[in-house]
Amino acid sequence: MSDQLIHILPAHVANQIAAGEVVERPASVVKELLENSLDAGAKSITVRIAEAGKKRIEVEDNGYGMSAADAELALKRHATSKISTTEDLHHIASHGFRGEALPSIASVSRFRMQTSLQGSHEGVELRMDLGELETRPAAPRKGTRIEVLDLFLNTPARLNFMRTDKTEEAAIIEVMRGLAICNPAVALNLELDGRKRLSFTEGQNERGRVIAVMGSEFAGNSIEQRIEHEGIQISAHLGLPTYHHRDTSRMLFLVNGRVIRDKQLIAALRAGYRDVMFHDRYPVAVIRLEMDPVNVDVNVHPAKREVRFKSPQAVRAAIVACVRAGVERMGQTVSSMPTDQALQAMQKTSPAFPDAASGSFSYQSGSGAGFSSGGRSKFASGARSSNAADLQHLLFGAPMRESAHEPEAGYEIQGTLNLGTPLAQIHSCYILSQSEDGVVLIDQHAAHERITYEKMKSQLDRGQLAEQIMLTPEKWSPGLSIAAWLSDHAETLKTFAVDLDQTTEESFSIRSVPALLSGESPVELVAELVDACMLIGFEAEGRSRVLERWLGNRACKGSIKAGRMLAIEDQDALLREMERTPNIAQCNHGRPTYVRLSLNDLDRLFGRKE
Amino acid sequence: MHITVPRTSFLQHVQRCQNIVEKRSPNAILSNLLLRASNETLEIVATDLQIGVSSKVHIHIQDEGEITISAKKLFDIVKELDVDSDVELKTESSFMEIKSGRSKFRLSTLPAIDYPGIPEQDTDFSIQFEGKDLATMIGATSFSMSTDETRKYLTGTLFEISPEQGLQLIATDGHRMALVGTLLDQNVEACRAIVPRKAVAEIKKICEETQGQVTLSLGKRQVRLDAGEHSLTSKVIDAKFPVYQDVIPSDNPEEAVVDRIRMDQILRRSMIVANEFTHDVRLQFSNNSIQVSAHNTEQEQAEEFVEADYTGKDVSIGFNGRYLRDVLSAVQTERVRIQFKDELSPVLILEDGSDASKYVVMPMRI
Amino acid sequence: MNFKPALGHEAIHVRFSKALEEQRLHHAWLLYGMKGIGKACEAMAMAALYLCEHRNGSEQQGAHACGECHGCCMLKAGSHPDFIMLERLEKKRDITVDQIREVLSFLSLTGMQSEKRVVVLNDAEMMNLQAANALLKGLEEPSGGSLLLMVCHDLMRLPATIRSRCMLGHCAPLGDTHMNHVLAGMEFSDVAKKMAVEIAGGRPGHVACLQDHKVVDGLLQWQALLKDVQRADVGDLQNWLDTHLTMIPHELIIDVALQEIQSQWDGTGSFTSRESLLKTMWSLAAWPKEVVRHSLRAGPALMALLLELRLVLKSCAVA
Repeated sequence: MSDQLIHILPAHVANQIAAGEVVERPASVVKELLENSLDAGAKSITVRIAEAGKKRIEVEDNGYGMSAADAELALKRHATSKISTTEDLHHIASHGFRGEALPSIASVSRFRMQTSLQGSHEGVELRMDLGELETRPAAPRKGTRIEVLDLFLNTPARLNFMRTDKTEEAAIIEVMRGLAICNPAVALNLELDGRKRLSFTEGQNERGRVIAVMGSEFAGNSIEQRIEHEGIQISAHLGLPTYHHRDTSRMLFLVNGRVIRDKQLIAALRAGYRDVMFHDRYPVAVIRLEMDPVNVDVNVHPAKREVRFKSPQAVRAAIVACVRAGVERMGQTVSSMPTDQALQAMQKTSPAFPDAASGSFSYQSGSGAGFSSGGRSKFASGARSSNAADLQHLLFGAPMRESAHEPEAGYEIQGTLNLGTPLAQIHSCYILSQSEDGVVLIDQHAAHERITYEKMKSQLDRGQLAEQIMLTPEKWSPGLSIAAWLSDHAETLKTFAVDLDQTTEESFSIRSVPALLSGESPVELVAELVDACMLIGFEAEGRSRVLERWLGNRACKGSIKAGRMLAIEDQDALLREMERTPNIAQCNHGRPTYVRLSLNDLDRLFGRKE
Repeated sequence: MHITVPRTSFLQHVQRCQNIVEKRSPNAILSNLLLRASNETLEIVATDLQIGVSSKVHIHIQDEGEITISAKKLFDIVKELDVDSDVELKTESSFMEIKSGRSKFRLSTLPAIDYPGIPEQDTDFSIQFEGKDLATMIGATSFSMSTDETRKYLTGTLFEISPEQGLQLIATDGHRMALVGTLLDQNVEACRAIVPRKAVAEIKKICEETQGQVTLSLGKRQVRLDAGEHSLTSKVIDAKFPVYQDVIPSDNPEEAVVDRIRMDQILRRSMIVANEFTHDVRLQFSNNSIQVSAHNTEQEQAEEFVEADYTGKDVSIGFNGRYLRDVLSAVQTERVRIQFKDELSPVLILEDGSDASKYVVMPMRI
Repeated sequence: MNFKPALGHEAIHVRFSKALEEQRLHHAWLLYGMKGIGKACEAMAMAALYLCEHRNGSEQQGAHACGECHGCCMLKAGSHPDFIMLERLEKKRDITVDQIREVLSFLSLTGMQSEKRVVVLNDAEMMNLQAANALLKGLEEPSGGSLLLMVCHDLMRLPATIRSRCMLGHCAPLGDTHMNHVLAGMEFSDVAKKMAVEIAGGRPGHVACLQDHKVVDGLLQWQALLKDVQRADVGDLQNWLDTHLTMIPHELIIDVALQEIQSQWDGTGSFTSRESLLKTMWSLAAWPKEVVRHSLRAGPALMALLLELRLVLKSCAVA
């Protein structure tokens, strides 16, 4: 490409792009400017915000910069250095392509830009006040500096729609977090009204950056999982099932390096966690998807937060597969959260520990406040030598500073789980066991439920389903549409060990059911099975989804109830069985099955150690 | 009301009744017992709104009357009272005074008219029957009842009286069925009722405890059992029972006769390595023997032969072993007859020498 | 509790008792109409009549339950074995499928006292889809002697399949004569009585809580605050909201507020400012429902509306 890196988009390309304003709030300005900086190859970017961006947004980078001509062109509508033909639209590799960001921003603010092309000896300064462009030469500099002053000054309506400063600041932080994860090697700094809020150092690897962004606690409570599925590469950082959150705010999805908030992706992630997590809790995870740009349309949402996949099914399957693989691996690890909470509960009486709610640090309990700023700033500002950090380091062996650089250190797969020797049963509900390094508390019902469930599931996976024939076939009238569908697909239900006979146009008799579920209501079972098949097709996933749910019910009913006395031999047998069972860390409702308290924890509880 | 009762018999009766009371009912009166004194008789009544039980004791009555009182408190108090003293009960405004020896209690009461009590008898026909026998019949069928609440009609046992078949008890869960019958030496009218699971269990309990005859009455909306001092009334299930006659195979060509106890032992052993949820075992019928085999997903296996009187063709049938063992323990005779057609048709199991009890088990496709 | 036919709903009661008399009673009835006008009372009266052993009454007014027989006594004591009452459990958003299954299970057993058994299903529109579907199955195959009485405030939120299987009975708000009669039966202070008459709008259930003097005092304060809402101290408003929102039904708060605004506003203002005033009043009226529907925090939501109201009223005054 020539010296002039920026073109005006040919009209037909411009028209292909969905129209719409990019600038809706300060955070979107920050996002556009940051993306421009990243595209310009910046290695370090600093963002300074005053009054939540209403007064001033300043973005300074050390990228290639622009020549005077480019700079001027950049302020015209639909100027972009990235796309010039329709084909290019399908290969969008860089962030901004719409080319309307700068002019849009400049049209609703007082705009200042200082830049110079890398290697050039002259710089340029542009000022644009409500459409009046003014250019003057300036000293050369490394990279570009843009200031956006008095945003929305000429559109008071927008200004009125702005939320509180806190909300707008939170949105900016959110944007920065997303971009930080997308670009782990780039240093990012954020100052709010002169105070340092975020700082991510240059040259981090992916895991390091994820932990820097998600908070150090995430390091010990997550694992990294990579898979490839039908041309989609996924690298995921998955929180343990017991390390959950009350809403979706702690899930991050990156599609080809862009932060996406998409219902389908959220649903897929939850589906992956489905049988290990409480139904009203949400996973904590960072999922990065890489795929051929041809297979994803980014042109749906003006702010590019939504995308359309060519094959949503494949994407969903890939995410589910990835999470399942991850969950399998974490299998027996319980998050430190329950232990945390246990300690916290007990700490209330102990003056030796700082109050968790004091804000100096945050243990981020499941119900805690959102993406706790405490956790992040603690990490970012380097104020790591707090009591809390020490305590956590001691307790959970999840080194905080190191974890950023040596991701594996913070996480340890417990290949061989050792739950120790049972000492006693407490209130006929819990088993107390002594392990090598402390004690373990086990919820007998939850543990047994998981054991039963896993056994049933393995039978489901491995074997042909045994089919119990009905003595008195059950009548089932599902309605015309389902009946029509079934008459085309009746054979396929056979793989579920369900045998249907069509008796009239819209009614059937159920002649057999899976023997595993012979105690359940045949009509409800078959109805749900058919529903699921119609919705998601016949692949193995659909089959196990439905059956697993029913198995879950059965497992729950068939398990040792809380409140049943267990002899010490039975307790021991249960513990050994647990050690052999995959995914034992939580019952199939997502509650933890056991909690560890190490000697260290105990010492701290009693104040024998600081 | 003012009465005096011997402590021991009073305790027995209170205990019998308080079992049925819902311990955690949100409504106070439903955790009470009704005491009714009239005609030199004290009647104690309890109900869980589905089943009502009552016990009668002959006693001395100073003042007739009726009242309700907390079942648990009354039971706990009477239990602790001096064994040999009499218990004196006397109502005073809204309280009841309980005196025995030097102990004196005052419990709050609720009026009898608010208590459901036992409804009047409304049944079509009654038979007299040996209590122990009825208990045995129930025991030989009740395991086949379903627990699936969406098919309510399967969650009970059908009690049927007819001139031809006498008394028959039938239970099925949709996969297997148990039918037990006895001919009666009285003239009877046809009547039937589906008795809910809980009532079946209570009837069995009372029958077991009763020496001699009980009276069983069936009606469209009521089943009633009178056994000496005790009586029980229950709601019945208001639904159609499957036409069980159609389900019993009448022309199964093959029959194998086998020792009941041995067969049961073999099944018990084999099921150790069978799938622990579906209990699937395979029975291979061949000349003069049955081979029982089982295996599970961990590739563990069991195989065992048992000699049997069998001369038909070779047939192999899959079963839920649990279902077979249930039948074998319900049957009384030394040997059992297993009649079948092929690996997918219903299998009929009968006692040796009698067709009064019929057990149908549906095979499993393994 | 008395089992007399609820005032103002005699027509339905007569229809019901006639059908009962002539032994052609439909097995499912659905009473619908505004909140607080006695639908559930009427449903109870119908249930009692159905279960009563000695009905009495006349041709014109329909029969009613005696209130004295064993059946009536048990119904009052909540111990009738052939009756259940179902409503949304506390802290649940819906009536769940498990609750409906319980109903079906109850109906599939025969009655104990007679073949009759009754279910009263209150807040029927709170059934979730699963629950409604389960109920539908029960409605399709009624067993002899069973009676389902449903009460709902929002007919259109029930699936059409359910509505079409029920005998519908519309319940209207009460007329003045009836209202006076009902209000006379409540223990009101004089101020409360005046307020009750003003805002009841034919819904005695709506103002029943005015028998509590704390509620009345709260509402009077509220009224005083709103007298001059344009200049009222925001802190005072906030204080009032903090202390009273959990104590006084939200509908009452809004009724008082709207009434107060109407009485103040003299019809001045430009067309646009009148439009926005109307819009604000709409939002106020919708506030109680919005709070439930979107699980909003009631206080801040109302405060925002009040502030909006101040602005609008000011603009009216200027014009």
